Amino acid sequence: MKKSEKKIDIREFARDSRDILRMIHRVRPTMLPCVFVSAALSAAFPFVNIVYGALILDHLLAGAGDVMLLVYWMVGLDLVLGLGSKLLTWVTKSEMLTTEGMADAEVAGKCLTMDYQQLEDPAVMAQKTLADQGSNGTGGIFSFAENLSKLAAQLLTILYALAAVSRLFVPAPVPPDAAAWVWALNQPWMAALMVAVTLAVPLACLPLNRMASQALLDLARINLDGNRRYGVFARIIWDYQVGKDFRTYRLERMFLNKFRQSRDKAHKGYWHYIRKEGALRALVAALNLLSVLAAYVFVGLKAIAGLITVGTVSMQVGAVTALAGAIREAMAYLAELDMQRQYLKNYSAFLDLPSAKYNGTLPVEKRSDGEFQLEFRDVSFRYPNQAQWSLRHVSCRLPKAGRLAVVGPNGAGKTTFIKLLCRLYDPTEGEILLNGIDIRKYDYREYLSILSVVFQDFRLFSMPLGENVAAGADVAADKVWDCLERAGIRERAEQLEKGLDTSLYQKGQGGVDLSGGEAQKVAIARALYKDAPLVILDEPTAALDPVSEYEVYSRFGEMVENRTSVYISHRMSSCRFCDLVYVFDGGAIVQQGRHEALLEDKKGLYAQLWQAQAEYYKDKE
Amino acid sequence: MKRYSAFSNILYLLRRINQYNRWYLPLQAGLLAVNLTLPMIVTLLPTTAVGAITRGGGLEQYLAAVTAMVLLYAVLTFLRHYWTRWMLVCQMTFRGHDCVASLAEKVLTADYCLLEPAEGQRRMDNAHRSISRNSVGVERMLTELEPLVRNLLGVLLYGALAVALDWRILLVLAGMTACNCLAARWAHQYALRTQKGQQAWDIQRERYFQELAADPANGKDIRLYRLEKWLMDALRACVKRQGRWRWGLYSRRVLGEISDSLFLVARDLIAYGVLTASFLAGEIDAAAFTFHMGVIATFTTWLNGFVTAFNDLNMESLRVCDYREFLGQEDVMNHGNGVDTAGVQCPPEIELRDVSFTYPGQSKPTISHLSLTIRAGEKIALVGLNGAGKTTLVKLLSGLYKPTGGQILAGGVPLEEFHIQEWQKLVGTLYQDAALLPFTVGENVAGKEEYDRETVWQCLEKAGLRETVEKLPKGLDTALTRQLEPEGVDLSGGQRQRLLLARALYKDAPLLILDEPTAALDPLAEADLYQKYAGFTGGKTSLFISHRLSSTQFCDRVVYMEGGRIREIGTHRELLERGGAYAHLFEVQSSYYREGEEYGHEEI
Repeated sequence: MKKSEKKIDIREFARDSRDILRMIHRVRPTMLPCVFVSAALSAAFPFVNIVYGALILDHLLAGAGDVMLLVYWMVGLDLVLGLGSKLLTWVTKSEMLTTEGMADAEVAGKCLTMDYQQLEDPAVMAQKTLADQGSNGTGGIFSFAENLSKLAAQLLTILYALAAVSRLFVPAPVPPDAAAWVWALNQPWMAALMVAVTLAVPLACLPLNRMASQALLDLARINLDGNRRYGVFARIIWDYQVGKDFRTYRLERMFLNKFRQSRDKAHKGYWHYIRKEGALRALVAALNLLSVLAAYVFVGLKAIAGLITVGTVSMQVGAVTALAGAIREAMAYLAELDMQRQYLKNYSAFLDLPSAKYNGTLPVEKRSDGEFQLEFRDVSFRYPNQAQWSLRHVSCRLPKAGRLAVVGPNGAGKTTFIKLLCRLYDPTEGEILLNGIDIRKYDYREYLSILSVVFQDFRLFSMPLGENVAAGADVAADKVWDCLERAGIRERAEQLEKGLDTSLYQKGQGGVDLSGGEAQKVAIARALYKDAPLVILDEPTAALDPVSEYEVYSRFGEMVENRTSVYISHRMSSCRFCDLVYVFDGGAIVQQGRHEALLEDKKGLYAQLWQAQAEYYKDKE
Repeated sequence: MKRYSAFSNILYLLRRINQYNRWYLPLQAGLLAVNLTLPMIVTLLPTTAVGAITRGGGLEQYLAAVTAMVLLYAVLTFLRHYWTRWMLVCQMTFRGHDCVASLAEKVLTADYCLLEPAEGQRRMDNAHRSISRNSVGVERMLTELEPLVRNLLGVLLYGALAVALDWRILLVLAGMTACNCLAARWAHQYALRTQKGQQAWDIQRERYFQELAADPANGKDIRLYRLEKWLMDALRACVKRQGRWRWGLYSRRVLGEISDSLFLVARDLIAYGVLTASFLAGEIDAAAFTFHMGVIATFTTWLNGFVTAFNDLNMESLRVCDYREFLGQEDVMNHGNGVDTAGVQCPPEIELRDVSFTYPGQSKPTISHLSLTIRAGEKIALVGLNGAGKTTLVKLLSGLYKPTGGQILAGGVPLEEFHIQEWQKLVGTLYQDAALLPFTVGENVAGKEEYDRETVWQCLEKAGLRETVEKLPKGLDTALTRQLEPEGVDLSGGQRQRLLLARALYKDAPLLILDEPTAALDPLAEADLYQKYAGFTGGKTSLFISHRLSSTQFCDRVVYMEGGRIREIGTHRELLERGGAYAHLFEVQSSYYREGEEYGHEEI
């Protein structure tokens, strides 16, 4: 975070700026022309009055009669430039906001397509936070372009101002008996001296500015954590559902206490840094008036000596002041752009994160007979940055076109097993084979296309029901209805006013809220619609009442006909209609076989699990 | 709903920020004075210079005059920059601290039934929005206050000077302001009309898609079903629609700019015409000419500033109303003097007398004419299909909602006669969608920062989580999740459920309600909980809700609900013998577990 103390590397700055401009141009080609034309017009605008104001005053003092002609010119130019720059300002503002939205969308798009493992990785998500800062807020594309246009405007102002000031360099004819100071004032080097003083003031202020920027940077660093913490508290506050717990367990005192402490800490830092930064900036602003004073002294003396006209005084002072201001501003924008450039680097770095999943190229053979043989060969897995193995030396062959049940206590590795099967993670050791070939060698998307999965924590999205089932905007209505029917939720869907076009979860926008059980059925319908040869159901009946559970069980056979299926459940009853049961414990398969055979081993884990549940349903009649 | 006037909102905010920071008002007044003086200096500086030159006072006089002016200019500039920063931080901390905290407190303590309905959430969102950023609502209103007063004073002062010059200039400027206001109003109305509809919706949708993309919980489905194109198309459509909306709005705003530019032409023509004529007639000198041009230009700035501040203030005032209204919402439960709960025998007898309940905004009752007496110390199993009204019944008993018909009595006393918080002390409910806070294990169990560690350990033991917590690096002081503490831990679904159970046990309330406490537990843990259930419900009245019907057998009575009513009630055995709905349900679930019985999907 010591970046601001470094001098700006102009070459690096130019290269990165070019890259950023290219990126902006790609996202929104119309934006840059608007930004720069608007900057040129806004920069020219004030000079109309500076120049014409002086001309008019001079003409008046000289008693010339054609003053109104000058006024007409000035008013006309004001109208054209003012109107043009204002119109363009609005267009530019609109363009910038749209560009920013598009740039944000790219970040979301990256999240949607990156490896799942990356999505779960806190380090990658920290990079996303940096990328977000790069696409919006003070570090964003919006303000980068805005600042770049302001920098351009300042550079133009410097040119315009120099053109106006150039008159001061031209010596006026002086009578030979003029005082020495008059003679000195008339020399071009005096004008150069004055311009040098004008330049010296902002240069002298540079260290002060740098200290102020450092204070802001330090604050931003502290704030990053403070804001994140605030977000944690805020999410809880605005989640009304947690409110039930708050009222029953009276948690508000503890919660608000911790919230206030957290805020107090953040604000203390705030005051400290902002006061420092504010004082420095204010000092710089005040010191900068020295160049105004220098301009008045030099130009005023020249006028008093009769070297220039009185009308020129205000014009020249205006031009010199504008020059000093523009130099000061240009340097400030340059420093800010340099900071933003670094933020935006984070943005493109995030979008360019490499993916590990897309290395495979083999297509998956399309078979209608469901003859897909999946095999785990000595697979071990542990989550990134964890010491403990979640799966250890697992070897097994999934039944071809058969039904597999996976059971075991909490934390036995069942869900990890499924995650590996779905290539959400790759094994740490060993390999998983599909028809004898390592699944990593297949094209990632091709491989996923053979899987229909209903995860324990499945998600539906706030989009039309039909699109949710069809997993996209192309909805084959007949097929959707058929799948809803098979998942046992057709009747409910038919009652909906807008049928398949009804949006899910959009209260107040004509959408419907689904209960946990209904949502689970829609998720099952989505899996059916995909119609893949391998079906995985992870706790699909957890939210269902006994009758719905029964319906799912009874349709299960039909759902997975001719397919390989994997069924995970804490409800042991599901094992009875499967061809094979794997019992997981401590990351390994400890027992496998058919339900009846497994029950034989009375001391085995399976028998214990079964008994624990079955006990309550037996011998009670 | 009561709307507050802009004036009342200003007073309200000033009072509150004054309580928060005593320095704010005096400094605000100082800033106002500085900001009023500065533009005068800007006008006077060239006038002084031109005057000193043309009046021929000589070198010394010129230098003295100009130096003094610039020095004053510098001092005021310093004060202006420094104080502005200071006010900004003051307002920001006021909003981010005081305003958020008081809103949070209201959200966390207001009656739950005010928040849960869609209308309540909309109100909460609006109140939240009014303090969410420095560019809207509370902070914006405070920011605009100084410009409003300053510009008003500026308009009066410079207006007087401009009138002295030529009354027609004032007329032009009045026309300009009127046209600008009309255009602004038109754009504003367009914004109001469209903001509530599609535009608000698009903003909300854009945020929704952004958040869902980054949430790993969605990642699995997105990858397996290749949803990325579908979701991205929807997101991009939102961004593009917002762009089109902005065009609509900005093209209206631009109209004000066009009319301004045209009026400025008229203003300048008149001003220059009049001033040139006066100068040529010898009525004014060069300095006066410069001064008057400055006055007219500055007056236009004052006027624009005033109009903008006035409009903004009025618009933001609506947002501040949202905030005040939310804070001012009156509770519906009894928060006054209540019957002493100490008089209620422990464990209590609970009677539901013809209770009905309809959610706000719905036509069909969720609970209808339900009567039930739960005897003191009785263990009730509540079962039924999804949507039978079980969870709603839990909410009524927990004092989150008031029945819309009938009465709930505890120990013969109607619930509404207790102070609501006193009643809630008697109920320990484990909600189906209960949540843990990102604080320490011990704090989560106890619900406060200072607690009895031994009792917490006992509850964890009962809930079957003691061993797990003992193995954690900092034991009870280990934070949950890494959200606030880097060394925090993530618990599995089963562990979370046990921790929530420990919290319910720590409260040790005489009425214990457990809503689906075993959904995430494996069979062994589930059986373990069943066995211990009698132990931790000793001396309590209890309600157990589960889809796993095995749970009914360690309860004294089973209540079978359907369509918001009680369809069957009795002991597990009685109900099985009756052969009704409950027996059927039990039959369905137990059929899988009975050995020897052939089960196959083909038969169904």
